[in-house]
Amino acid sequence: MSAQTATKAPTPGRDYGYGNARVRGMRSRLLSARTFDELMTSSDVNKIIQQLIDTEYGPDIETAIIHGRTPAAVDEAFRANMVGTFQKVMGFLNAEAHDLVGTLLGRWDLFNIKSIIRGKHMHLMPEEIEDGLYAVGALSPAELHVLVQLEDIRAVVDTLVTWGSPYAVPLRGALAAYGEGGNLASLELALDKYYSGWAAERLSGRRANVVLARRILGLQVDSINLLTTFRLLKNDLGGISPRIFFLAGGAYVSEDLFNTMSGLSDVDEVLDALKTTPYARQLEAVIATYVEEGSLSVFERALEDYVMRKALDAGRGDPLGVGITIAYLWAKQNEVTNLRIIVKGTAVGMPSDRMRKELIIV
Amino acid sequence: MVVLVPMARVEIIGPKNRFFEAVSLLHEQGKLHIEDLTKKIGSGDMPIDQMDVALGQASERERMEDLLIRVRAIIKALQLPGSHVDEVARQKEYLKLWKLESGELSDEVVKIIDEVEERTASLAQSQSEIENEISLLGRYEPILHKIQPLARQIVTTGAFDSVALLIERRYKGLLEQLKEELDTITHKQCDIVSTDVDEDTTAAIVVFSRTYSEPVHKFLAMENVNQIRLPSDMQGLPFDQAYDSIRERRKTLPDDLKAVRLELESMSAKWYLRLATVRDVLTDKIDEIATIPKFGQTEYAFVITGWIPAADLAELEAEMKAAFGMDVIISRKEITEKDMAETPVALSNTKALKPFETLLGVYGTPRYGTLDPTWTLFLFFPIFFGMIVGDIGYGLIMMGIVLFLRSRFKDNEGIQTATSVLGPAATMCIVFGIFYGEFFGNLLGEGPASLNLIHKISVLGVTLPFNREELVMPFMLIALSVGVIQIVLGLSLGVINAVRTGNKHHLQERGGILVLLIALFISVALGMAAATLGTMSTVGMWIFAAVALGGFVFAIRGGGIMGVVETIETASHIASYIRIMAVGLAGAIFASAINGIVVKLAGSPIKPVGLLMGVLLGIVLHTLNFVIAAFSPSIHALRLNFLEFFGKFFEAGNTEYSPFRKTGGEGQA
Amino acid sequence: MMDKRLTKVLSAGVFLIALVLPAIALAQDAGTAVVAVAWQVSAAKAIAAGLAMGLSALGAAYAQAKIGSAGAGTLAERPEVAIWVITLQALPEVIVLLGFVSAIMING
Repeated sequence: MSAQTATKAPTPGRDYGYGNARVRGMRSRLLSARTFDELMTSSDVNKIIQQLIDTEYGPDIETAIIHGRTPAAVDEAFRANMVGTFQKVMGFLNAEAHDLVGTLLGRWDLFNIKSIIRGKHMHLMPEEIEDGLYAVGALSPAELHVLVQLEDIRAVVDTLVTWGSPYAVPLRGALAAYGEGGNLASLELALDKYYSGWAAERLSGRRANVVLARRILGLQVDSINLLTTFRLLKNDLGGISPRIFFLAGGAYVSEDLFNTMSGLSDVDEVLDALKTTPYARQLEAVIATYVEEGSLSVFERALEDYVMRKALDAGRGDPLGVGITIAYLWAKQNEVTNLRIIVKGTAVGMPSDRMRKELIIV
Repeated sequence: MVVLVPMARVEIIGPKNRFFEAVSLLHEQGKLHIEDLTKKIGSGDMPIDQMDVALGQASERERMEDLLIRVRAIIKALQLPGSHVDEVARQKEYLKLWKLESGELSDEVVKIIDEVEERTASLAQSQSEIENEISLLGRYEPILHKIQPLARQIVTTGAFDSVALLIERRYKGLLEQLKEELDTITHKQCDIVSTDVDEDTTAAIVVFSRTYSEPVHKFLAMENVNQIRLPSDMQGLPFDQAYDSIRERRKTLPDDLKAVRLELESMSAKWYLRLATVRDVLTDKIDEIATIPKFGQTEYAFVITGWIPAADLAELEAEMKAAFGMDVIISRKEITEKDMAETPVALSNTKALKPFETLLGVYGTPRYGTLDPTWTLFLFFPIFFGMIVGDIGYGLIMMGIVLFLRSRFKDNEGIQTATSVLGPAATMCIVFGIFYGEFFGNLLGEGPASLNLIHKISVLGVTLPFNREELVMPFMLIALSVGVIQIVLGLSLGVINAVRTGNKHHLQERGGILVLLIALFISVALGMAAATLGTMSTVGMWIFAAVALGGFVFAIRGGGIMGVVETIETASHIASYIRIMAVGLAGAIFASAINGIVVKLAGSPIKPVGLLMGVLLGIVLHTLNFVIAAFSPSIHALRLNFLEFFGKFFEAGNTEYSPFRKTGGEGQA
Repeated sequence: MMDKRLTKVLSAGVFLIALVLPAIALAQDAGTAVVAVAWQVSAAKAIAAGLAMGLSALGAAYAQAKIGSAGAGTLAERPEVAIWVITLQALPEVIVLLGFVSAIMING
């Protein structure tokens, strides 16, 4: 389940000098805050193209816009750039880093497959689904394209089985339950459990780099567990034990804590239970917004931002460790996400202060 | 030239209606480095307005930018070009396009784009589609390969439909139930064959009459089994046919891809010149408009300010006068010390020194008003290199390589520049080789492993050649003295620069250290001579020590705490020159050691086999030493110049002279 | 990748010098042995010189290998800083030079 381009075996060993130097070089080409400011004031997509044509994104934009200078084409270019960048980085990492980063990037496969089945469940248009995908895991853009075109979840699972994708294993197991209840949760839970188990296994050990990668994974697992907790507050499980939803391998949220929280009745109590973890502060900061909007996506966003910040912090540690690479890839993802927001916003004439709110500038 | 190209700061004022003619003239002449007035106007330093881009021009620019992007996208898709471009044709095309009115130019470009864009886009599309298909088909092949034995067992005719199932092996029992239920649905018009494809999967193919297609598919969809999915365009095909078809496509697709790429190549060969020229012309035209807001205006006049090499000013004035008469006025402004930071810098050196400008460029551009240090590199780099390597043999080989490269790659500018730097270095290497009496180490000198061809002679009390392998300590002292000389020179240049740029702090700091250094040496010298010269000398020693202390005080006044650091660093910088001795000696001793090994191997009396082996080994080791001698000493020589020497006086400028001129079809991306 | 290999070759070269020099020192000592000096002294000197040279060369080789791989990475992304990479690459040579000077002083 390594990245799709790993045709060439990574350099054996743990020499981070070469890879980290390259990553630092690439990091120096991330767009500056000023560039973002300028982009946000662009009047239309053409202006954005003009501004980005001489940056890292230039070649990808040139490739994409030959079929027309539409927001979709530019968006396509951003994603192609992100895919290319991730592939390039995976291509020069040493064996250990390749393993660790590859494991963490598995979350994108998870994310993509979940998006597809969710989209199929809600009968979204293929284009709508494809829009939200990031082909930076094991599944290539072309493969994801085939998956989104399929008629239903069953076809998606069948195709993954046919391809021999490792994610077929949890999906085919959970498909029966989905068939009966029509509830996505079973499929998603199976996927989450499969990924966190697979990743935890690959990230076991006591070396500093492994510990770092495991920590990032742990934060992600915590986020999922917390969101599950919040969802459970709203839903009646009808006698099913909430324990089955717990994902092991979190950084702060233990099984006991999870069980305690899932017995609670409102958000305030949950935040209280989280007091000893760093999440309490993050979530309390947005609770007003949550009350206002009443949507769990507020919390989801806050947790995502927190994981992002922690991943970026990883770049400030050991200069000869895997943190540099992790931080760069996360920063790149952040940049691409922001660019996509700007292009979409510009295309629909969103005012720039609205856009700024949407951006994740860290 | 010791100084940088003197610049003239000019202000050009004229009536607004002649503004564009003036800009065109400047662009044509290509000598003026334009000052961006945006900031000065914005901050109120200049009580004028920014020049407006006329409405027509703004839309013109927008249209051209648009076209430029399209052209760039086409060029990217064509993946241009490996082939050589005819420069003359390109130049001609450039001029032709440049002369067009902007409307005509746009029409022309649109015409070109129309001719290639669509075809290019569709080729690029097919290319990526084929690439995708190749990789996608690869995902279906393994499983189809595994079920081939099954697929070939069953004969499918049009009356039958088939479905392939993948079942976890632990649920294999399920197949029995399936068969029963399918029998009920199809009235026994179905069959199941199965086989294990890996440790945990069993594959089965269900064949059934088409009559029951719908109920069977419906039934299977409800069951907890997975079906093998074929690529969308192969659905409905029997599995053996699908497999064959996939293999067939996988075989032919690379050829299709090649065909598409060939066509792209041929299009590229046909269109590259024009497309690239269009790109350059558009870039230049856009540049010309983009420059406009950098200029200023008053109600009736335009204001252009900038810098031009002082020597070219007269030419510009003459051209302006010829074109505009008295309408447009050029006035020369004084460049004050305050302006120096933003004044553009150009180097101008004689032919011999020119290549060393490139070397300097690697380090940085000096600041306007300071001295051009190119000549110091020209002087010291070869000397240091020669002092370190100092071997006639290695020097000759190096010279041979330099001459060979120069004649072999006459058109390669990079190689010409590099060899122009290495040539003097090789020469100095030979010169110092003669001084040290080294030819592949001590091959020609005296000793058991030498040929005894060079004998020591005494010239004016100095024994020559100067055998550095024996005179380690004197050699070290020589290296140190070279350091002292260069550091003192560096500080002196620093003082001059400080005076020229009017920087009082630098003046005090560098001057202070310089005084300290010189006074200290005199003081020590007098102290050592005290025995012969008597009390006067001791008094002098104390006086100069006091002067040295005064220098130190000045250094601190100028540089603060950094003054102290700089002073201490100066001492360690001088010590750093010991590397000239150490690196050189290591190479020399290694060379001599190689000769020793050769002699040892040759044996005494000489044995032919031993001699042959010795000579071969000698060649190998000398080659190794030569490679080290070519690489490492040049780095050390550079480092001494850049770090120890330049640190004493070099001030980096931030603007390189880049005049407002056309790319002239030189092909910048 | 090429640069990485280059670094290895250079490091190997430095190492080679380190190996050869003590032997030469020993050979020269043997040739010019003065009767008055006990052979143990000469041997100890040669070994000491060898250690001074050899260990410092190992140190420099290690440093250069590290710098080399990082430098190659930097060059791949930012060729414009080549001169600094090369300069950094050459810095640890001073370690060998110091070892070399020590070795000479021990024998001298």
